[in-house]
Amino acid sequence: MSLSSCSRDGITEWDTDLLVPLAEAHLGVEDLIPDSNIISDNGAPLIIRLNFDYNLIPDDSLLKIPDTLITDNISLPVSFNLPSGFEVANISQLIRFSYKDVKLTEALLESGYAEFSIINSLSDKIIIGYDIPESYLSRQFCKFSNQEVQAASADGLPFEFVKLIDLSNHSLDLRGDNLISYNRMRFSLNAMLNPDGDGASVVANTPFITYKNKFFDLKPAFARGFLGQSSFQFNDGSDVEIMKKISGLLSLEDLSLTINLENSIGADFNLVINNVEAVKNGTSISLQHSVIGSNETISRAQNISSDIYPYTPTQRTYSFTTDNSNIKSLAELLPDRFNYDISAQLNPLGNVSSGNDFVYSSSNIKLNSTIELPLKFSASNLAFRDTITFEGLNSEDSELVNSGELRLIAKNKFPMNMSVQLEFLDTNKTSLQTFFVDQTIPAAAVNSNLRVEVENISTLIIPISDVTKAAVNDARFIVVTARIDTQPEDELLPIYADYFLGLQLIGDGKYRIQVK
Amino acid sequence: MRHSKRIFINVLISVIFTNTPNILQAQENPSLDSISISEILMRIDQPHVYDNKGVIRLWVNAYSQSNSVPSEFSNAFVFPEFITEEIKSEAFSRLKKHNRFGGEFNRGAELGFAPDSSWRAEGKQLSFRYKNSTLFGAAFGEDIFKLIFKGNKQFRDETATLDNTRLSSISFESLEFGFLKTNYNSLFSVHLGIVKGNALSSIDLAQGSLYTSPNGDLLDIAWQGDYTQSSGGNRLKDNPSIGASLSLNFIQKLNDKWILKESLQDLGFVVWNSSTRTSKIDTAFSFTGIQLGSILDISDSKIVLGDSLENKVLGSDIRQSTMIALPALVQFDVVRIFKNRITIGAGIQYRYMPGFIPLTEANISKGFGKNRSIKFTLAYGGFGQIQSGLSAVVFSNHHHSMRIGTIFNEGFISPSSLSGAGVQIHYVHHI
Repeated sequence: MSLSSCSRDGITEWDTDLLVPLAEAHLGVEDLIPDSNIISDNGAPLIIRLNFDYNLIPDDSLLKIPDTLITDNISLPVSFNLPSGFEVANISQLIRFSYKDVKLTEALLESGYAEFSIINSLSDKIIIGYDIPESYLSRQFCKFSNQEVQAASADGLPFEFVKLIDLSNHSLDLRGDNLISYNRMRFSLNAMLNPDGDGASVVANTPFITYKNKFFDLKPAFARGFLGQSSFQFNDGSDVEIMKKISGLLSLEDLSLTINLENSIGADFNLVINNVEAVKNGTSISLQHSVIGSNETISRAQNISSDIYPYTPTQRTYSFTTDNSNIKSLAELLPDRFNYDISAQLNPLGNVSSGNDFVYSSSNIKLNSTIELPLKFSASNLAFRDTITFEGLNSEDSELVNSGELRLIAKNKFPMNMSVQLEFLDTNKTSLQTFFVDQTIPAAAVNSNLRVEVENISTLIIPISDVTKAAVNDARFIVVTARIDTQPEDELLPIYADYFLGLQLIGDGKYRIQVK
Repeated sequence: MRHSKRIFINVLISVIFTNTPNILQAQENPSLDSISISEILMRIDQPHVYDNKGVIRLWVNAYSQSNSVPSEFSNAFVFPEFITEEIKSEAFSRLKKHNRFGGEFNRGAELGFAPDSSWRAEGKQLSFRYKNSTLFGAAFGEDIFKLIFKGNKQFRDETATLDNTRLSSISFESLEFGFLKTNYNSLFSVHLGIVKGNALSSIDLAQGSLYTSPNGDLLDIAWQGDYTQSSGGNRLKDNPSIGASLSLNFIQKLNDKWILKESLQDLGFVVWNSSTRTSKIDTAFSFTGIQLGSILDISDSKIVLGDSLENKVLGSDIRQSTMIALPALVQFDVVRIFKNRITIGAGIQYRYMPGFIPLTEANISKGFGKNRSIKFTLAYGGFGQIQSGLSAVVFSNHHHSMRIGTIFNEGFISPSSLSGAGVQIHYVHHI
């Protein structure tokens, strides 16, 4: 590149020879994996421990009281003049909450509302009383009385009275009148025509009172009864997006997976893992272990408080190791998708608790899995490939960079050859230029104990040219391809905490300074 | 540029000497005590005329000067152009341990008048004048000049010493009201002005060094000094930078042979506005590049080297109103009057700018009648070393008069190897 020596109008320019460190980065194991997931004992190879928690039963699918609405009209078969003080309504009605085959007898609401409304079409006011005798808060029943509801207007427009009742922290007795039923609750309404008025006339078969009783957003904190025999089928798969960017050959020394199932529901739970399958590029490997296909029952939790919970959950633990499973083969496949086929059922033996199942809002079937991976492996052509968006450099800035080169000084203490290839693409994803082709950061040498003691320092060079600058200016995407190959080949190499890759970018070239 | 300078000098010489025979024929040889202060000033200074109803004066002068940097180099900033390696090499070869560089660009207009005949009779005038000045000055060592204009690569495995670097650039304009009193033997004037600061940049680096490692992986930087920068504020109503100034001028004809001149210009200050950036720098650090937090998270990242390094070098500045003195100019001259309208003068002046050392001056002037004169000056100091100037009053009559000439004119002759070049034009129109 040679810039013209002609100066632009109004600008004084000159060239300088700069030798400047531009950027620096340090990459250790802790940058790849959070500290909390690394086990690092003094001087020993690192172990990665990963934990995952998962609730098997979706929220609201077990503990739920559906929204319920009751509405009715009151009318007479004949036209009639109602005298003052006439009792126009005396209603006692059962409300039934229905959800799957769940039979609840008792519930403590964390939140929820009852909305009562009454429409008065009479020409005089009425006085109403409302009561839900099975709903109470601190021994106080949910009710109100002597509530006046205004008369319809002179031109016959009815008057509507609406009352919203907050049922938070209310206890609900859902056993019905005979105390042996379930999902039932009674409410009562009485209404009397103004005793001090002149009465009111009604027209035959024309409603003069209309009422609605709505229960909504009822969210129990606790419920008791028979929780039913709901079945859950997990026959799906999930993609591991990051693994789609990784390819190559990986050999692990060891890998273990521990799965703990915790049942905090007061009902037995049955689980059958029919299949777990790892998939990569059309190749799949099914997990082989004694638990696969077997009928596993996790007995109900006890309604006895433990730690911070009001219940005592039951636990089942399954261990997958290289001795009792093929889990290492699954991991070495570098799968980008897991398919699974799992079926589960609540109360597989029916209502064996005689309606004493229970559930708290925090109850679920919790799956806790722990993967323990000793960082000892060999990798061959293990590649990570990704495309990132790029805004390009300011062309005015890059124009000021004259001839020269960028030098990347790499200090590598990993026992692996590394290469990072950057391919710059334009808006149409047409390749503009590729950097670091056939340039490798060489591995550090290991001693007889397969341990690196001294980092390997190497330098990679990017010459700066017109083509280079144009590529950087016009680029809108960069395809990053990073490859590693452990050295020596086919040797399982342990990774230690002091391994790192240090990178420093140095600019060495002519830079044009401009003064306006 | 070079052509324009030569043309200017040719015009100057031809204007003076093409009329010389007539002038010589017309000249008188009056007794010395019959020469008014105004006529003497016409020879040695500005073409003053005070015995009229009033005058309108217009003037412009500009120069750059250095004890080391050739004019060709500094011209690249005055008339923007690319500074070639040849120009830089010539400048580098002339660098000294202590280098100075500076210049001025002044222009202005003045209306002086006597309100009535009694003022005229008493030699008094009122004056309104507008001045616009841009001044810059620098004192610096050899290394920082090479660092700026050739880069740091030449200092591989070496430390560039940047101590005692001072640089100031200021631009301001002033509106002044003045009073002038003159008689046959003396002249006194005083002007008070309101000053508006337009731009200020000031760096005072008491200590500084830059070490560049052999392969460029490390810069060791140490700075200790002050930094001030302001754009002044564009409009008077929009947070302007305002100040005040005082200028005095006194000329006394001691007897029929000696004249004493004392002058004080732009003694004052500007309170630079609240957007003024000031920073006290006292830092030493090793720079190994911008620390990238995670090279694994590079999407949408943007590296801005300049800002990052600038923040480290300049530190965290604060924006606050700051009062700074104007670059006052103080000047003393003694003039000896000889027969045949010849004067010989000597003087000393000092401008309060970095890099400016006391400027001593000797001059000789020759009058050609009452209407023309020529003056040659030798000087040492200022921003430069030995300099010379040649100027002439090319006409002076009852309607108007004008002085044109060069100041610090070595750079006109050999800009690639000598420093210093400047011009002055001063025109007076009689009302």
